[in-house]
Amino acid sequence: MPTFVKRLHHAASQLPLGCSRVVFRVPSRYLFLFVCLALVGISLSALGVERFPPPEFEPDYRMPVTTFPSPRATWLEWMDVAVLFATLCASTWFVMKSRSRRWIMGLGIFSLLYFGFYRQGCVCAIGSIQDVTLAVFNNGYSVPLNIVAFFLLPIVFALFFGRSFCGSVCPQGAIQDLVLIKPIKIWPWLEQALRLGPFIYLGAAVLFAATGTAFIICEWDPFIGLFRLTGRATMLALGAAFLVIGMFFGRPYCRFFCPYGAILGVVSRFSKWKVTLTPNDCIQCALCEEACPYGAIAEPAQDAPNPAARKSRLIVALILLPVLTAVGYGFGGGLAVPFSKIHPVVRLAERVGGEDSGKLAGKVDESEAFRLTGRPVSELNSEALKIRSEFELGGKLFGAFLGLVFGAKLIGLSVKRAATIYDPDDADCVSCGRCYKYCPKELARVKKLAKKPDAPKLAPKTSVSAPTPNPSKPV
Amino acid sequence: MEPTTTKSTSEAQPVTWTTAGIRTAVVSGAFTLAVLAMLIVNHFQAKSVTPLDNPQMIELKKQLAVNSNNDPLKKEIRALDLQLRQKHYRHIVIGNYGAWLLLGGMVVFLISIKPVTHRKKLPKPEKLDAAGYALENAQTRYAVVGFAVVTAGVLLAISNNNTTFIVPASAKAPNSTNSVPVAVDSGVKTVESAPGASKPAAAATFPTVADLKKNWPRFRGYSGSGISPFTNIPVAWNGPKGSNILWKADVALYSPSSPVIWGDHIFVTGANATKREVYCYDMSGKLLWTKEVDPKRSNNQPPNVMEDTGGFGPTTPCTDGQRVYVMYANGDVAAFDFAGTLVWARNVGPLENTYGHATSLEMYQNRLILQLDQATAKDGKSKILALDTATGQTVWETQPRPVPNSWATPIVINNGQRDLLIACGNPWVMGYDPANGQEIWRAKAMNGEVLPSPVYADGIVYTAIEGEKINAIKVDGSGDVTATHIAWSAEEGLPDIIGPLCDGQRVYLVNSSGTLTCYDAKAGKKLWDKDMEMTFKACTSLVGDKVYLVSDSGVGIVVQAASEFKELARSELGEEVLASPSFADGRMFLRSKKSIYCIGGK
Repeated sequence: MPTFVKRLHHAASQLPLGCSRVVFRVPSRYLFLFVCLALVGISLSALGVERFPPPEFEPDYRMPVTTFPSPRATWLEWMDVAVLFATLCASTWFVMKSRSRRWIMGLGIFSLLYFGFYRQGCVCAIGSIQDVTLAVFNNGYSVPLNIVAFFLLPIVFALFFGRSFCGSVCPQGAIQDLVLIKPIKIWPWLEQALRLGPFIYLGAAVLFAATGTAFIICEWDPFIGLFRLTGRATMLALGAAFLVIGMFFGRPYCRFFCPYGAILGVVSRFSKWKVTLTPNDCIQCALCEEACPYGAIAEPAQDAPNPAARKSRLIVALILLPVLTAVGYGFGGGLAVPFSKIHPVVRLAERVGGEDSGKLAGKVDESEAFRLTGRPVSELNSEALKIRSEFELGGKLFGAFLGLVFGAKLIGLSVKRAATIYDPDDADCVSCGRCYKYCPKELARVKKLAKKPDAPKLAPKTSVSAPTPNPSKPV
Repeated sequence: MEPTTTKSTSEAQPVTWTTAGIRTAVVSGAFTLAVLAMLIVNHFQAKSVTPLDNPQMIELKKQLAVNSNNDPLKKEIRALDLQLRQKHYRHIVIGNYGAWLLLGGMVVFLISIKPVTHRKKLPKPEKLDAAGYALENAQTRYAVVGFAVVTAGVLLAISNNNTTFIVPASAKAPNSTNSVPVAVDSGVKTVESAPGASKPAAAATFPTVADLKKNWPRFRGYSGSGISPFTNIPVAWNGPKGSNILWKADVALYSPSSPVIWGDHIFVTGANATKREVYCYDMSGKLLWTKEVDPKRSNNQPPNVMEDTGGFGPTTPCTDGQRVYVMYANGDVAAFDFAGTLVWARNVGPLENTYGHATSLEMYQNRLILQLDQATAKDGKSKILALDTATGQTVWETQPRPVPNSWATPIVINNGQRDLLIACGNPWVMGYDPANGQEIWRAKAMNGEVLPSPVYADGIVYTAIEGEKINAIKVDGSGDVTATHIAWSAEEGLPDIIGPLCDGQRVYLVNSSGTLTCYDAKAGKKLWDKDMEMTFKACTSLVGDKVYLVSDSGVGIVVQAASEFKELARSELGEEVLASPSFADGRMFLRSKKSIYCIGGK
């Protein structure tokens, strides 16, 4: 559509003076009318009542045989992996080679339809973290290979090409990308702080998965309810909230919550080929930074006014790293009791213990069912305490991990950066390709390619020479 | 698609793509919001209309249950059921369609709004100079630190929610070096659950309350009351002359523990610094067997005890009719069946106790209760353990008790509503749930070195200790009941070793220096006191309407259990007695330093 509009603008520019406003009377009018009628028309279907026979009460009534849906065919599961691989390849090509925002968006819509609405958000690379974690810590859990593939493939791609998964393969990312209509930039300092959120979520998700407690990523996935068009009211409300927020703040889930994004961000720092903005020299116009709705363009480093102070801060941060880690480890054990209560066995033991001690009134289905089994409470308590002891260690490691994350971030903020140009941040860039069309040098390159069909079409790896001084007007 | 210009369309309002987009976005946005509102309303309506919970339906079904042949009623139920189901499924259908409508509306909205909002306009990038860059860096550092502080605060707040109802259980298995293979017992008895008692574990076997009451299963008999189930006990006897002495049997190793009796089996323990033994006699005084607790499985470090009073084995054993359970000051705990076969053994020591561990054993259903108060209150080592009587495995363990080492024996009572385990220590009398060891209430009612055991009668537990008071504590409280549940207190005649005795109307105290004091059990008024002019360590007992006392020197005194003091008889055993009397049908057993005396009418 934008290109079509451009062409129309171009056509308008060819018209005589005074005829600059191009309009299309008939199609637009009917379009508006059509939309109104269509929306009202399809609404009427909701008023229909589903017909069904009245229930039978006669003695010869036969209860219907309970049926269970058969599991998804193995070849279909591997087809998912094949589609994932293909979309990753395509995404990488669109980001690294053809550098086409249009194709990236198109692929995102496909991924949203396939992995989102068709596969209903499952299988999912984000949730696969938990399957893999549980398989590592629980010998009794056998993780399917297709889930392992979903976990590893995006990471392998990130190791070579950055976060090409996030740009147009992840349905969660795609739906947020599509709803973004009026981007509002967040203060950089707040952005940087909130970007630690995914690490906290990652640590918690691993802790709960390792202890076999819950797959919190899946349980609190804000978009699953939308993909399935049903779900808990809280889940749907959460999804709606993310979408509404995402209309103004780009990809809020990806930036501030996604645990898989945290992993891909770290891996992307070491990727062999990185997403680059300028094929040639950056003219430091800052248009790309302005254009990126995700705050993922790193600006050139400036010399610190007081280098000595920066060094001091770095030393303090380096000392703080083990201190924060140790403090986190020390206090993390305190989370064992409250966190373990989320585990169903511990929750049941707490319930039964509370009822037995008279501190919890009444009985619930779970406790009554447990008592009917005749299993000794001591055995239940024993199992619950074993789980709690796992949380004791897990909580300490979780605390240490958080200390490590915050300490490492403070070190990162105190280290002198070497960047001399505007470029996508290795960790934060989600490979959406939005910035390409804002870069004058990139536009010039595309224009040049268009004029020379035989010229190499693939964008070379950025090789930056001395940056050009700040230009005047960029466009 | 004929392009026209604004100038050439004076007769018709021109509509640009932008205008069309805006209008479409407005319509689709309003539509989306309307559908969303409809879905929300539908969601709450659907929750309120569930066929199974409809009060009218429930009422009709109740009526049908009474009159099952009422055909008009059946018709009415069917009609209502159909109506409710229609409503319920209608909401489901609306929800399903609504979801698609919402999605469609959103898609149209996004498609129409995108070109409007994504009009390419000239950006105005702002670039930072070095100072601005440094400021932004500093702001980021503060933000990261702030975020870390907030995260830590949230996690600390979460960690404060550490209330738990789970008590440590068999996660603490017996020390494997002190464990032996478990023998399977075959004697299964019926269970008489007291009112409010917790449900027993499946396949657990334990004696009925009635069986416990007609035997002498533990220190001071069932529930530690000191009340003989039999009244046909002689009031006078003479050891040297053999009057009313049915038999006398020697015991190899001395301990001041009391005999326990089940049926025709009498169990006695004895110990010295190196050896711990159990003896089983029959009702004729014949020694059936002697068993030594295997020293290889013991804690061989001799405990710090008062040797001259037999401190290596002062713990009175207990029996449930299947096994006898014994314990010694070094922490050895063992179970033998009635044939003398070791069922299990473990060591719960070493026990840090000033004079040596002396608390006797209690039972609750199939659990053996061990009160292990040790060291100081600050050390946090005091606790109560419940062991599985069949295996010796720990079933539960209380939270660390806030008391130092003590010597009183806990009691399990039932107040008509629930079972309670009551244990004394300095300064707390504490009530626990014997099913899981959870504390229910506590009262600050003890002081100093706590030896006297509590006793229960008619909703009141009586505790007394020299230097504090005799306190009548109502057992139906929860939390700290010091200010609310102490029915009465008094300060005269307080005991230092011997626990109170209650006959339901009166409470009797005797201290080691020989003063016998009687209180009204309900009002707490002192009725009388009497200096018996001798020292006592054995607990007082009630046989019918008579109170039995045995002095250290072996003098037995029987007084009337009444509101006025009246001595009925005084007897000589001829040997020192520290252990409390035990009772069987027509017989009383007194343990001296060397022997067991069976006293009964000839």
